[in-house]
Amino acid sequence: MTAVIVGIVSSSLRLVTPYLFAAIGETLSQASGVLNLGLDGIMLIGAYAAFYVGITTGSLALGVIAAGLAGGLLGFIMAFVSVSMRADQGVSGIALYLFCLGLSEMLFNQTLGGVRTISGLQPINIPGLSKIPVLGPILFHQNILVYIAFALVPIAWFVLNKTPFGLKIRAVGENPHAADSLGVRVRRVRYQTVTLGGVFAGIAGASLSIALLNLFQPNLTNGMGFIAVALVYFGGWRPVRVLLGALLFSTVNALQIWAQVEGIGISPYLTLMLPYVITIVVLATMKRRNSQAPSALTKPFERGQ
Amino acid sequence: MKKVQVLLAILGMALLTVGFSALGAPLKIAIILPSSINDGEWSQGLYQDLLALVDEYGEDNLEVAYSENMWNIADADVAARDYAAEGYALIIGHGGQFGNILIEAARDFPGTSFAIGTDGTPFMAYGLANFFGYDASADEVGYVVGGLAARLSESGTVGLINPIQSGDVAGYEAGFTAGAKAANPNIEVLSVWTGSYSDSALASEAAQTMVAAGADILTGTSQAVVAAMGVARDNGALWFGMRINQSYLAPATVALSSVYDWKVCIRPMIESIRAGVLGGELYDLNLANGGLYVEVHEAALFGKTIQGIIDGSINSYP
Repeated sequence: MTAVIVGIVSSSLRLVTPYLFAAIGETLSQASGVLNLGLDGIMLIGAYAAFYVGITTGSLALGVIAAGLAGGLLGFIMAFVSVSMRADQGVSGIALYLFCLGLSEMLFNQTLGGVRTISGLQPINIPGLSKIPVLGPILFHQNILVYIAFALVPIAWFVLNKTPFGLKIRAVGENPHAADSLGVRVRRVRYQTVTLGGVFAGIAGASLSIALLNLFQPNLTNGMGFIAVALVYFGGWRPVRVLLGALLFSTVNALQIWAQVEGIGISPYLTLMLPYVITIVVLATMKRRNSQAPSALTKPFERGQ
Repeated sequence: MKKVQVLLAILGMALLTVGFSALGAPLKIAIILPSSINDGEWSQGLYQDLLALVDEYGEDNLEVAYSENMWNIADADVAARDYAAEGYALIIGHGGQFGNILIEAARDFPGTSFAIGTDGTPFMAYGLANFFGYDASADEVGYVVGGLAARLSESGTVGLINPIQSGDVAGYEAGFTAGAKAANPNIEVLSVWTGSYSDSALASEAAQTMVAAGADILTGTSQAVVAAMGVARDNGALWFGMRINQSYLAPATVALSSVYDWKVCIRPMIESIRAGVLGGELYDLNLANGGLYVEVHEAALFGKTIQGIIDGSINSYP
């Protein structure tokens, strides 16, 4: 039984990392009022950038940096389109996704010429903690991106709730006109959060291509970015709840794989639905208290309107 | 009047198709692929075999075009109709998911041949004269390699990572399991269905879970399994490749490959079209016609032992 639990938790931690990076970034972006549906596309470009730079330079650290930069650039483009040009956020996000999907396919064909594999980021033991029986090897024997992803949660919570910058983000997301009248530079704040969200989405992609799967192929993310957007709603725009949602989703996913491996005799199509069914059930039954969407979410800001 | 025009157009197209072949103009084939031509599996196999056919027939006689990464069926529909309008003689939808759109396209372009596979059987029921189907009896090759897996496994546990329970995928899984059980009734065959041809993360996680459950030989189908192969490599397990020779992806890990020779079903389609028969046949890849065969990769299968004997760490004459 212990082995099964250890296996499920290990799987869950591996699966949760890309969701966590993408969803925490999206939380910041949405808290300021910008819905970025291009997340999955940014993850794809991040995954490609990390893999390509990793395989050509031999440095995975440079790969992660490249993924962050590429993601930041795409986040900046999303901010330009949705904040400066005031385009519809839903449509421009989808357009960004489709652009990145095509671009990553083209880059794959032009520069990689086929599926190749890379020796990815290796697990790092946290001294002392990794020796704890049972839990130690699961929780404290992971690659660096898993630790960073988990560290992002309290950092994002702290920034959003305890810093002047976080106050500005929330003010801009709730009532941009009031914030503007108090001297907050609304567009600047939105540019910052959407670009930062892009950086995190790019690193989410890197966590797939050079840490989890160690390869790049077209459509590698397979819609993970869209699930990350759903997780932000699931988590009620609060980083800790987003983490819980991401953990629930990936644990149920790990559980359904285990159920199949153990041959419990339930149709795999029923078990495959589990993560989505549970997500919907939780969303439908979750208390709405204190988890309302930022009032200005998806609304472009124009001074004097 | 309209009917006459339509009939004339159809007759014209049919004449054009036959006429081009008769005049010696190259026969043009278009393939619609769900993934990329270098996916290391499904699409790469068909593309490589078509290039081999171009070599075989000569560039003057055969031309090949492709549309890859057609995740979106609506895009595939547009591509198929474009190819038909441009005078391609044979349009192949590589994957049962393209079946319905190609049936409709075949009705609208009766002078063009269409083909669908694998799992072409259900589409033959429409009885269209310009529609070919192709299947692969992957259960046969699955049985062969499943038996070998059961004999090779030291842990007594082997694992299958499958996408969706249909066509040759279901056949391979059933054949592999039956072959393994026949060779060793006590073998444990773990089987996971990911529900997707492209979810690499789930395929990889299934492989991780199987390795944790003791599996030392893994295999699977779909373009997402390259990630699972990486898990086998990183954990010292063996991988049994599918559809193409996958050895190049992990030379020390891929012990054998169950290869599909798509030429075995495409060649008779070409000959049939040249003879003026645009469809109506279902072709099958199997062990008997050489459409399926097993390639053994020595490097992974006994490379370590050979190296051990060479460097003296193994005493072969104790």
